Amino acid sequence: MTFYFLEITFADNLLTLNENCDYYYSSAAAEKKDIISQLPDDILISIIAHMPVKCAVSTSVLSKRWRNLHRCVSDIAFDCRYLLGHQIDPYKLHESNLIIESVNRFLWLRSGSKIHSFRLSCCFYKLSIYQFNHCIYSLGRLGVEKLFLRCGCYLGSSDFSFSLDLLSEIPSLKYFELSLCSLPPSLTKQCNSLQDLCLSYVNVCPGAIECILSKCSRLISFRMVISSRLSLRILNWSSLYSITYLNCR
Amino acid sequence: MAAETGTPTTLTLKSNDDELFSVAESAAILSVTIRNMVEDGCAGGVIPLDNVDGKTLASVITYMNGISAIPADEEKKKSYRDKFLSDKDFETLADMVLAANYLNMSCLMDAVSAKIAQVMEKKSVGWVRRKFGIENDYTPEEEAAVKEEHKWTFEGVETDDDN
Repeated sequence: MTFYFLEITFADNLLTLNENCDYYYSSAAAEKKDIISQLPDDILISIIAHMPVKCAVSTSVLSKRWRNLHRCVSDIAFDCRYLLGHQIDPYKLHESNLIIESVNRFLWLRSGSKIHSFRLSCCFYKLSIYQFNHCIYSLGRLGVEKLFLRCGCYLGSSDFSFSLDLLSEIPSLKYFELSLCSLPPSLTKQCNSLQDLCLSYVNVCPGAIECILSKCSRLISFRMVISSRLSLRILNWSSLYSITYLNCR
Repeated sequence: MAAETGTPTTLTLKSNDDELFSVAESAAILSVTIRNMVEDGCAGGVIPLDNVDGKTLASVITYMNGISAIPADEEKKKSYRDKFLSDKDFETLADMVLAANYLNMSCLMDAVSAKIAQVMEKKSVGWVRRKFGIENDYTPEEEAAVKEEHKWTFEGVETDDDN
């Protein structure tokens, strides 16, 4: 605790290093309050929106006014490096499951408040499919329109396969960017909302592209960043306006 | 707007403590609030800015002049913004975010919000309460429940002490 008082001492110069500074604080706070309490909710939300998710949630402890402000942030980004403070060790199997459990608890906390875009960057290794599917169902309930899933820290670091069938669980999804995982051809359900799809460094299994193009009826843009050549027979797809291949060799 | 040929138009802004500032119109219209006044033709005399004090307005004008002198290069603008905000203390930042909101300057608002967020995220709840003048209106039981909720959310990935 003393550490924090020390910081204020540098900032204000007026303070003595005294744990019992209530008198000073109450007068300073009263003075300051006139300005600070004018900050409308949308400024506070704009501030919270610039914090990592964990810090944003912890602002709810400040006071009743702050209790639900973090729930109004509509663009969410989770990065395992911020949550854990280091890269996930591929030999420590439990950690990517811990991350996804936290993400799920966070999404539960967000019940009832819409999330516009959701970004999850985490090295998925031996990931519990049950937990992951649960996350996707929650995102569907929260009305997510843009989803970014980066499943590995580097090429080949993840053993994760994304099941295309999950796309139909997010009926609001318009934009989807998937990277660093495998994509088996598993789409059996129709996905009628997706307009823009980007796959980067995804190990696309034979048949997966055909699955996407036959089931995603609204798709207008499809981009791929790939490292190996694929045999693609997709050019007769009529409603697709833009297909881009980057880094194709 | 109705510029005399050749010379750039200058606007006069007045802070709520009656300080007067001259600023080039081209820089001042970074503020959507001021731009609207100019477009509506009511920027002829002195423009009173009732929600901004002289110290903050001087700072905002420095920013306006600095950023509008940079050609369309987002990288350079960003590094100017970072440098501009780097020596500002928390109180100044709070005043600036209010001014940016009132003047409707989204780029400054965004940059200051990010800076305040950066300051806050490394500090304790107690520090933020004092600096923001936030009165803790939770009962001890309620506060414990809210703390528990956010602790529980990130259980297992907790790496630091957020007391």
